[in-house]
Amino acid sequence: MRNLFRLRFIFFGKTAKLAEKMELTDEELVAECRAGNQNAWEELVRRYRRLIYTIPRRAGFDEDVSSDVFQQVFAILIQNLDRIKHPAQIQAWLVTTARRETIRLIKMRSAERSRSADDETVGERLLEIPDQGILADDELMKLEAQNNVRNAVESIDERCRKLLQMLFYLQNPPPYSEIAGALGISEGSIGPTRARCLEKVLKKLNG
Amino acid sequence: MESPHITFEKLTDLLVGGLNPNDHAEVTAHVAGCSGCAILKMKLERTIGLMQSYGLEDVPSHIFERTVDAFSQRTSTREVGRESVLETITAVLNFTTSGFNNAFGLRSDFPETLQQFSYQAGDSEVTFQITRRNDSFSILGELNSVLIGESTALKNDSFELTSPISDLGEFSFTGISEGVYNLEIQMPENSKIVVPGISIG
Repeated sequence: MRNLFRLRFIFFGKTAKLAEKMELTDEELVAECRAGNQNAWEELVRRYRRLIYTIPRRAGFDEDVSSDVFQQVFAILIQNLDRIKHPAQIQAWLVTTARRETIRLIKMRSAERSRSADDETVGERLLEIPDQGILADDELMKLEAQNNVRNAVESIDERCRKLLQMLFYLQNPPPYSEIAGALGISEGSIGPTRARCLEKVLKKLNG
Repeated sequence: MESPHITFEKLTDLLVGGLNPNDHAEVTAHVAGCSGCAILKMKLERTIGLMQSYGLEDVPSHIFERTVDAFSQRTSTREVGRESVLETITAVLNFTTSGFNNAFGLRSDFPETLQQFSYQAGDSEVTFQITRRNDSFSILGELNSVLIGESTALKNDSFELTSPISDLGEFSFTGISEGVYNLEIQMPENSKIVVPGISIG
């Protein structure tokens, strides 16, 4: 408990940094949210914003519908915040809720389409229905893992974060000369810096 | 994190390039004979792979902000207590495999699965399957609702079995005898979902 208070002080102090925010576990964040802490809520939404938004997007929904699903998932969380029995597993709860909301929308749209427009062919209508099969467990687990790594990357220092983003998150990574210029380091130090930065990420991921 | 045998930098170079042929052969041979190094290499490889295959999309900033702001409403609404009478929602059957032969709707690798059911109760959905083991039956179910259920009970005039319900809405009952039962799911805000007349056996 003392540790939590210490973290709360660090987290919500005016000098709080993103790196320090990451020290709060999901369980601690939910406890803070239950206590009505707006900053904790913001951090919780921030931590899972990509993961939850991507689920309806993967099912084929556009940005507007996916935004609705995103907001609905967090609205459901607000409604159930005091009822969650295992707050440490909030990620699984959010993912399952996002998947259910997405599938509910798929079913609703499918039913609407089966009632509507006789001038469309069945094949055309089927093409417009997002695919719920794409939300298979293994696919969602991969998205969760990607999100965890991304959050770990965001929690380390700025130079490391930028380096890893340029090296691994871009489809076409820039040449070393460009990276070195952007970070103000020599080309020769990119390799050792890369190793140190990856080591930091692994430490974050493995506690 | 550091392997006692090879540096983290060399391990990284092994995976992303940057080792000369001699070092490459040396590090590869070392990892092959060092379980700790192999595990570290596997973790590193997976992490880099997850970065390179990254496919998450960021929510539009105004949606993020709106979602963050929505929390302030919760703070005010939870202070408003309300008295309410017990509300019972009777679930309506949506779908069942009852009446189908085993080739339809049942997985052949689970021959003990007898029936699957899907019920609608307002905006909530209750799905479950009944399986048989020897002379007794089990129910494995799931509540799909915007509210997290509090508990479940399977009961008739002479029998009652309770089961907790997980945050994800999962519940189960085992050791059930043949008979006709009601499934009751206690919900928050003094409401209850009842799935009536489940015939087992």
